[in-house]
Amino acid sequence: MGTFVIHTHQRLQEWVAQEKGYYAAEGLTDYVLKQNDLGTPDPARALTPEGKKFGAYESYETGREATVSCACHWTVNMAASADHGTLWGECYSVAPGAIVVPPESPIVTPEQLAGVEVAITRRFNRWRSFCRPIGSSCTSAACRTSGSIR
Amino acid sequence: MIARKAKAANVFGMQLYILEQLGFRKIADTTFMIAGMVAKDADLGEVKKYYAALRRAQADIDVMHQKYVHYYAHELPERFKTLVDVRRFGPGERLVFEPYSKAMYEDTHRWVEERGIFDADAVGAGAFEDAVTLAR
Repeated sequence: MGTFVIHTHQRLQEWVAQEKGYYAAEGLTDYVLKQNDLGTPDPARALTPEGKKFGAYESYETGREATVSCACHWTVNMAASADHGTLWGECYSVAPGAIVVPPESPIVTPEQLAGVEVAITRRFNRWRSFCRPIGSSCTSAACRTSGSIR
Repeated sequence: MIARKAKAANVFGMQLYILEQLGFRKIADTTFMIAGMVAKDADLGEVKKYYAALRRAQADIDVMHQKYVHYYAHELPERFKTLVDVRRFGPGERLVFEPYSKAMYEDTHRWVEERGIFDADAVGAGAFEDAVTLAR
């Protein structure tokens, strides 16, 4: 087997494991930490050859150069189902999130989001289940990759 | 959000910490669930070692995440490095060493498929036994 390629995920765990020597302690010695290039402001990566927006799913579809990586569990679920890899079934993770508004915004309650377009990570529909009851706009046009900041 | 192209946004992890430091106001808490993807040609023995290492790292982060937040700088785009102080960031994403169960897999798959979030040709066969790798 070649080098074990680990895509980091804007989180601490991979870096701490490296600092503490935990990979080696567990017997993983030939590895490398790499960032994925999702969200890079590279126009060449904005669309797939088929003209679709390039996101996490498309990165799996076209082949991520990683032995292990992470994405929204919906994406990994679907990509694994379509045979672009397999979902690791022994562990998942949960990140804190929030719906936020700029400091100058008059919005202070969820009800005031009704009718307001909310930017979400592409395909991140958990928010949709929240905004539907309050009547906020959350169409695919509003999905402006807010979840990726690179 | 920083360029004010959106009036509101749902963000998670490091993005949330950045916007909070820049004065953005939280309207509601959300969460973001993440799964690991293993390449088809991966050595599962190596994958187990990787996750064993992460389990130990998670324990260290749980005890005192402040010792490690400087690593966020490795993940932060250059243009944000002068805008925020990563020492103020929280622990972020937490690994849960529990099974991504068949029920989780199937419920999620069905929910996503029903809403047409992915193209029809992307949803695959939806078989847990084929799509999910277990250590045992």
